[in-house]
Amino acid sequence: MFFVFLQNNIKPFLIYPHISFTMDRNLAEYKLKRVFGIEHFYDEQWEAISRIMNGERILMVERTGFGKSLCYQFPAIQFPGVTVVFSPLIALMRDQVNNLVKKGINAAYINSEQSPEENENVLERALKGEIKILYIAPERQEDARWMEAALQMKLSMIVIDEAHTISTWGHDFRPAFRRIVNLVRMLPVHLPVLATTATATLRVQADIEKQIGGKLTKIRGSLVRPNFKLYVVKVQSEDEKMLWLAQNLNKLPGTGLVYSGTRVDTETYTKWLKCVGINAVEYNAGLEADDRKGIEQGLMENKWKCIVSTNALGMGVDKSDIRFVIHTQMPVSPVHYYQEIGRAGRDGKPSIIILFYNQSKASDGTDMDMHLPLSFIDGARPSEKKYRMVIQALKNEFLSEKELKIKCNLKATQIRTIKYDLIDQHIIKEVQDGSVKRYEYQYDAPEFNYTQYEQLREAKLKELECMRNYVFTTAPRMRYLCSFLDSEDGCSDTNCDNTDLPKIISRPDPYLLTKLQEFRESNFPELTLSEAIHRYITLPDKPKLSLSLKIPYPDVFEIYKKQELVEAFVRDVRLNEFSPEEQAKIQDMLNTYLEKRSHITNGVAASYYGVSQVGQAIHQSKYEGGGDFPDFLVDLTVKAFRQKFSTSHYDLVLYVPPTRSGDLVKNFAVRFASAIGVPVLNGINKTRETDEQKIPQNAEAKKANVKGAFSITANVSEKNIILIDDLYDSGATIKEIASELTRSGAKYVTPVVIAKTVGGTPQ
Amino acid sequence: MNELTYWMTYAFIQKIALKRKNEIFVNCFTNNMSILQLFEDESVWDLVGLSVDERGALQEAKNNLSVNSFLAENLLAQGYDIIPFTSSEYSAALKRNLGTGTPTVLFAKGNKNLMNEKTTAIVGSRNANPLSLQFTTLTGKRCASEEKVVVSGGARGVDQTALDAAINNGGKSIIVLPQGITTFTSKIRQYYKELTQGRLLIVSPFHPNAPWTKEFAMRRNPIIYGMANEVYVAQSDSSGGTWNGVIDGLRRNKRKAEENKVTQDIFVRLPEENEQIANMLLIQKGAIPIDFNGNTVELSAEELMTPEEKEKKDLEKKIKALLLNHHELSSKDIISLLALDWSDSKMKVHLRKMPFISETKKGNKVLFLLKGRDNTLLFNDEGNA
Repeated sequence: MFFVFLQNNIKPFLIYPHISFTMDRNLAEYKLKRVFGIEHFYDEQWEAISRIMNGERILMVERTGFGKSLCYQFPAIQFPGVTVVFSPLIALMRDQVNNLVKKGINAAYINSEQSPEENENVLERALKGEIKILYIAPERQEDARWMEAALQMKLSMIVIDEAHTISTWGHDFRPAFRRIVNLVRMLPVHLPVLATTATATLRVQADIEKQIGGKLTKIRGSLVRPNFKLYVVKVQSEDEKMLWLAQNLNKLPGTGLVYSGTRVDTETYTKWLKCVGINAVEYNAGLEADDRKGIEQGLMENKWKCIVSTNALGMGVDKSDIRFVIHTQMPVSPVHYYQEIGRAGRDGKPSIIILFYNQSKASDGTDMDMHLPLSFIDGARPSEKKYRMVIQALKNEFLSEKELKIKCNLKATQIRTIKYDLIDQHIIKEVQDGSVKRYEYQYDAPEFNYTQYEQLREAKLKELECMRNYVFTTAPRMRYLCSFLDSEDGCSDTNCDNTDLPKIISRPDPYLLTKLQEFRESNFPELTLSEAIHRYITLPDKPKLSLSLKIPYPDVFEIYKKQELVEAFVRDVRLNEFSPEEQAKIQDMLNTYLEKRSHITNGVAASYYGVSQVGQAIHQSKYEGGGDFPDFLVDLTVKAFRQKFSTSHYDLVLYVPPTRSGDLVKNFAVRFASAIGVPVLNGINKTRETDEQKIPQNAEAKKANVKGAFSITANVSEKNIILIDDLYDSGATIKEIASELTRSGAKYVTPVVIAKTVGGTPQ
Repeated sequence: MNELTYWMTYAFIQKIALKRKNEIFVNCFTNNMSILQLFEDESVWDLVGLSVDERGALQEAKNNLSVNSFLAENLLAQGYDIIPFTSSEYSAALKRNLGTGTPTVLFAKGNKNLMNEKTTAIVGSRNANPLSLQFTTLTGKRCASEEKVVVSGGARGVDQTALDAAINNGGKSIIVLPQGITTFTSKIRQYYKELTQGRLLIVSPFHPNAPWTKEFAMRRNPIIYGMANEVYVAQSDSSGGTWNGVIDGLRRNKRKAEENKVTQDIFVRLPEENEQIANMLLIQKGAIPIDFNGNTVELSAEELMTPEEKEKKDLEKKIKALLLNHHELSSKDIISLLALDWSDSKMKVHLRKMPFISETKKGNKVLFLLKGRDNTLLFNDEGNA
């Protein structure tokens, strides 16, 4: 009888959010049980929820796994309108939405991973009032269509997830959140706002409070994660880390994450682990959205022992039983470290946390493993001169990001940082000019202040020093981390290699050492030139079909041409749902498309530039007048080529003509061709002067530099071609030549180079 | 707490007339209340005297606050300003001239300080003649050299010429838009340098995303006039925006003069004799005539007379002449002698208004005669003669 009464009385709670109302905890928990299957709220959760229902603003600092999302999800389903959750983590959005939908709650997300059609569909549902909880990335606030739709939505609450990212003092500052903060400042006072984070020092917390403004109630819990077993492993070389992982990873319980410092490292570590029989998979921001989704899904299903990932990527995966987190590189601060390891053991069960630290000294006397974090800190901001160049350009002209990038010859990442900083300093504004965004210099702009970035750098260096101290401290490790986060309450001083756990000492196995050497000599970087192509195909009476094509290697290309494998294109759709006629039709469309696109395949490099003696040798020949490239480079390149393309047939070797003069590449190509027994031709001419590709700083400018600069003089019709160059950077030259070759009738073009640059142009 | 969302939402309320909206806020202000309180604290609605309908309108507007906060944030992010009439940045001239009819909120891009510098509106037809355009250029140039900000409507003709004259000569200008502020980005591109140098301000009182309408174009005119300390009229027809604006201004001046308040100088270009424009009429109605160089021109009393005034004066003269000859006449006599198509009563009313005429009764006949020449006197004179 009581329950019937309650159910009949659900409606009265669906009132306007700005009319504050109170809800009895028992009643709320009854609903909690029914919708979420959870018996009770924690007191802190209930405090947050009842305040939110009362139209208040809350900042919640609670450890990962505490149940912060319930604090907005529960009120959101009581409110009449939509709750918008600004979240910087795409993976987390997806997980949260899936979980909510399973519970029968109307939730959806809008982000760059979805097609514009999918996002539009979500917006339309939101406008019809069909969505209760809408997750969006903060960058979306800059999107004209979102803005238009937002102006028609019935809004009930705003949530800022990962709120530490709104503070420049936070460990993962997201400039796009600047606009969200401004939005919150403009919101009516009665609209509930919840900001949540698991990692805020008191300084960051104060910054968040200052930025959000208004009356903000803080709810701060203990950040201690008692189930973590914390270890630090000091080593003398990169090899030792790789060897330890090869020896021990499979002995660790469950599945987990290995964080490596760079994208190249994720590739190398993954290949190595696979090489020694460990079921590992690579995950980084360079992957296609579909691949990322696939990996996240696989992680949930424990498909791999470990995922090797860059820490730059927010792995906001909502998996409660990640049993270990291992860092092969040290993060830039204890807060970063706490955040990254925080993804382990949300279920509260024991989880192993390991940090590797290479303490061998570099030539300048610093620890080897200080170099990467130092370079992150140093690379965070472009030079003052570059800022001033942008300011000057915008004083004269109303320019878009692309126009600015070309005008000032800056890297895409630099222009983005400069743009956000100048907006932050009220020097420029982003104006929607039709469908383009342009940047407007403000006539009353304050003087540009670069000092603040120097101060920020100083602060970051201090934090890095604290991170290094974590390696060498004898204090209980959780206490060390939590004291950095101003949250020492409840530390038990156990569960680490400084207290009751044995230290891990690296003892490399000689057999594995040989294997590692072999691996190093055969680990050839891939040139990913054949990007996935997404196409939509509409067939009568069928839902729109999304196709993803990838033609990484010549043999795959051949298969497609032979009309054998429509399956290869079709994802998430069962092929047997299509009739043979329909399949033929799909194949036709694909073939037409294949004819038109560049026939370039993925290629291979003999080495990374800058991480080996290969780089030195190239530099000597190229820039120091050291004569032809040495023989070992030819041998290594041939080895790399054979490893990847031994099954493909080639008719012809061509080489990229030099920018100025010199026969370095030509002579190299001739030697390479004779080694693999394929004829070589001088078949590509320059039609005009170009700059060296290291002068233009961004992809657009590099593309423009070589556009239309080549002509094909050899007969390449129906031929399979190897295209040789010395260095591979943006790939613009190779792509341009491959397009020309395609137009001249080449069947496919496989690039082979001596070295691939790491993170940009060699100096 | 930022109140701009509240101001914007208040300005967008259509169910309360502008004057009334501003009055309501004045009531709030005198009771020490902010716009935020007006929205959030319904208990004060009695105090500020809201009617039932007004409460309904405000209640409804409250639901728009959250979405309007998105709009406000978006505008500020794009470098547009939202300026409520309580702000010190709001044009003081506009408030002075339009009183409670001033827009509740102005949207702006550029140097807002220009609004409170010395401002000159240069107004005139979209299809102005070459003389008017020449006058506009000279006036705009002079404003530039005297550091006066030229206010115009951004339309073709006089507006465009005035703007160009000002900024091409190193001067400053305000454009008042007949549309939403965000729908005019082509002008940002066109006048980018002037904007970044702080020599231009674009303002609009309308919803930021509203497209141009004829109604807005009409409603925009009083704002151009209102923003200016002085007005220069290059060319006016005898109806339309320019005409109405000047007539309103002259009427306002008259009222202000009676109240001993500051008035707004309204200068009108003295037209050439053959020009088929209404400038002269405006001068005759009280605007100050000026020549091409902006110097005021002294006109004779006759020249300053409007056609109606002239006609009236003419009639007076004729009646005077008749009465001099005939001593006393009935109104019917006057009508027939002057061959007018008037009714008897109309003439009577007219005659009685004339200060130099008195009347006398002979039997049941009313006769009119010049003052000082009444019967007795007449009789005496005759007697003396």
